Amino acid sequence: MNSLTKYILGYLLSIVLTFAAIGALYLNSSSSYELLSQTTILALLTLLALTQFLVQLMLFLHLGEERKNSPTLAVFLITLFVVGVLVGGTMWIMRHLEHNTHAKIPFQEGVVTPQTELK
Amino acid sequence: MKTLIHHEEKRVHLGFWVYLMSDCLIFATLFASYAVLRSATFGTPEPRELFSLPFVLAETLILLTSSFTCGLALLALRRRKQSLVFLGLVVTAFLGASFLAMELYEFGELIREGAGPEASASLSAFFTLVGTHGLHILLGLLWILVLMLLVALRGITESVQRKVLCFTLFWHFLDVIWIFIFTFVYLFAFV
Repeated sequence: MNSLTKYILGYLLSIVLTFAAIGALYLNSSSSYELLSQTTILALLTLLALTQFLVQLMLFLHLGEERKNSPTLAVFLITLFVVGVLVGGTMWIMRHLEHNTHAKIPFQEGVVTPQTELK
Repeated sequence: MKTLIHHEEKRVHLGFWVYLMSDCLIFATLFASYAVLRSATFGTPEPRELFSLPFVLAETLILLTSSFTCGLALLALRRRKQSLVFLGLVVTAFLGASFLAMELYEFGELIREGAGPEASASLSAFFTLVGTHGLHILLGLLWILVLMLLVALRGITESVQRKVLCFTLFWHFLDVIWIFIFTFVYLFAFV
């Protein structure tokens, strides 16, 4: 596959994936009864986003094109790990904080203050 | 000589790539902040009432196309087709500017409706995340202008090729970030 083919393929796939995401959203919300659970549609949209991410990484940014010792791939994987800890860790901590203090995160009036006892 | 040039370009490619990875970390923190603050609307309308999906779809397709034309400009550069390089860069710049104009319009409308960045924690996080991306786009547009000048004045030298390569990495990266903004900020609002 030459470079031009990669760019065209990446462009077309990205368009398809974008419309697939919007289409899934419209189909799900326009039907009178609940087609997919909220978790399922969120997961589907995330999957479509990650697929498009991979498509553009490989076809536009040429990541991992040299199979052997790709330093850009190595740096990317490290970054992916840090981002995972950052975003995932933040959401995990905040979810537990909300549960453990019985307060609405990020802000609930009058529940957790220095004068209030934690239940 | 050729291997020297090749190695130089690989070094620059990797160096710029490492910078892009650090930029990823900035966006990661902004995404994490938005995820946490998203529900703190403080009386302002919910995101689903503020956003327009057709509008965001148009923005997305425009930015995606500009990423494509950017790639084409690089191909033209490799094949030494100077006028095609210009065409690619001009189209990329035009599409990028259109995207930015649409985004500024959207921001203006939100502010006019009282849903500006100071209205709630959720909106602060939104404007910071999307605004930072928009700022990157603006800098990219300035970069294109400089690149067009360089190509016009110096022609297609090895140095110019490295600079355009770095720009294409930057521009593709911005479209990648937008994939996540489009999904997690805009699409998720309507679920």
